[in-house]
Amino acid sequence: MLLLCVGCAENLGTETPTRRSQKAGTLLRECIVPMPADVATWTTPATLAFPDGALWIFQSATLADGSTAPGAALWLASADAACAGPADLLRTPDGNLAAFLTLDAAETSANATRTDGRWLALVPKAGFSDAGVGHLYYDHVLVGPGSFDFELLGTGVCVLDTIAGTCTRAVDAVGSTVLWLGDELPIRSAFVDAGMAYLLACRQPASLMQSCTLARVVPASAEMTSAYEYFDAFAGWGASRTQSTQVLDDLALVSLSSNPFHGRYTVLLTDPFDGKVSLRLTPSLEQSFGSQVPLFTAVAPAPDALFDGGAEQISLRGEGGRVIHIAYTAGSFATRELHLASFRFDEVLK
Amino acid sequence: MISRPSRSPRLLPLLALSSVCIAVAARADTGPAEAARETTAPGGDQFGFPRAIPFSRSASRDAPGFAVAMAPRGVRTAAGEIGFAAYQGHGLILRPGFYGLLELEGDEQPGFTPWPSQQIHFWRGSYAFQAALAFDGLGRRLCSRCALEFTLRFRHESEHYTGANSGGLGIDYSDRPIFGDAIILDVATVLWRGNWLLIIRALDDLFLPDRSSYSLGPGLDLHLRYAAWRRIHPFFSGYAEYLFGTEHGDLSYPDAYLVRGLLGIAVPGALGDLMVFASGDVGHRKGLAAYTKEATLGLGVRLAFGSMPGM
Repeated sequence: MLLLCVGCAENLGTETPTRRSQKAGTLLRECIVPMPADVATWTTPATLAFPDGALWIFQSATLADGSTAPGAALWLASADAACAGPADLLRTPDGNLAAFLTLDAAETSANATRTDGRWLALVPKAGFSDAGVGHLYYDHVLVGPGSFDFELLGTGVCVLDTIAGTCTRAVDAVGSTVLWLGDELPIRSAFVDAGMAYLLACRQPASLMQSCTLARVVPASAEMTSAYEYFDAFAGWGASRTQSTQVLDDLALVSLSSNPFHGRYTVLLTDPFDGKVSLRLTPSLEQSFGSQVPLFTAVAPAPDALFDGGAEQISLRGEGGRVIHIAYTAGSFATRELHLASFRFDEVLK
Repeated sequence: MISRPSRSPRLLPLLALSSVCIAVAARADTGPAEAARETTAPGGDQFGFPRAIPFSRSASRDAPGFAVAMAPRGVRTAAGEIGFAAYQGHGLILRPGFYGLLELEGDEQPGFTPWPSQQIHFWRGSYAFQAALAFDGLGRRLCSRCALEFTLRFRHESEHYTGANSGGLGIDYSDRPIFGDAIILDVATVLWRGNWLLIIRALDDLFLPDRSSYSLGPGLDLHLRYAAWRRIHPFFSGYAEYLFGTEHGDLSYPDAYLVRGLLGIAVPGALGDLMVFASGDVGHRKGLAAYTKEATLGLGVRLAFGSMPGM
């Protein structure tokens, strides 16, 4: 019997060390944001930070009656309110659900006549507000025929009218709403600092790889592609997009902003596979980001699902940036839940 | 700064207690047949065996010997101890010496490899300066063939792995534990009962602050053999160790343990034993694989130098 087993090895597990710096602060709360009563499922929202709250814009929400509400939105005045109970989807003055981001008539018609099992979708990704005007960056995506098949056609931007509940899609000189083709500038995070909107564009050059570059624009000129500048580590900010330098290569969901508590720029990283949330800091966007500071691990999704979103809610911060809130979705397409995690730093990070 | 571990094993009292127990047990062997077999200090006065009670028969992976494990993975060990000199007087023998170890281990799927010449991935290297103090007078008062010995060692160990000769990407092992530097105390005794020989050794690694991922490493080592025949001695060696993890740099390291047994035959000779054995262990792997915990059964051969007291 012994001879039969010689050479056998039974794995009893693997251990890992813990990082002492993991105690950067305390996870105060992690709630599942309650869905409005008339909503059955929703997608991962893009966040726009306004001075008095956050606007979440969804690709779509599936209503309880089975209908779909494209471009639905939710207003969050505070993290407490978001966790406390269901808020209503935003409505226009005439009582209809707001539809901030929708296909135009031609696109809708083209989708209806397609026979290849694919369809065009607009996916809100990130945005910013300045002087009361919101700008939303979104992907043009060709979805299907399989559940996980999609092709990134390009990036667009639209200008919000929060009263009317619409977002006017910018068009380029030839009338296209695709302002940047393919993965030329897939915006994943945006914020305003000192009168400039800074944008983090992240591409996936290969499976399990990500490369992020920086762009900036005067907010009022966000609809003009020629107004954008791109960060080149050698020449500084310039007009050449193709000369922009990779500033991050973390395979993570990214959220860039400046944090007054730390007195530096921060990028929050959410690992889409294991939900570990970490932070990298830099004193200047023209300098390299520091090493990752682990913050906490988000609630694990279902085994077959990933995290998505991972956006810091800049306008919901507390104690001057010491308390931050991160929104992410976890779960399968059918049972996707929207989480809001609140984290308080112990001290200013070194 | 390394902070002290929260668990504080009382190792020195344990060592003292084990010494007393060993001595009491050794008193049992006072038979006339054994008393007639006078022993002499093993090894010469210069460049001889480094200990009165050899560590080379231990089931520890650090045992000094030339060995090949053919299962569950290929492990090749070249290790040895040598005594620089032997200073004798007042019933004591002091042997300053040196220890060195080089161990190569594969990371292949477990199995049986008759001659493991490939698949070297993990490396361990170690050296130690040591001083063994044999209490020959006291040992003989306990029984005719008994021996008692304390050893103090300063030991360094480092862990490495084989990279590709052609370059390419390396493997990030930066979070793996560093064995580093330790002062090792051990106390050993030999007990004879008829043809049965038992070596008992209690030891403890006292790791130097900021020089290791561990703080303390107590261990217990046994070697039991039946020495009735001249050419073949069946034996069993058992070894258990527990390493208390500590904080080093930005990392807090987990504890590690290993319980290992060897069952086989030893072919004794003038310089030592040729040992052929089956092995079994439960616990953490060594070197850069130290985070993996497993239970294994294996086979090995070892050339173990050092004469046995009373043989």
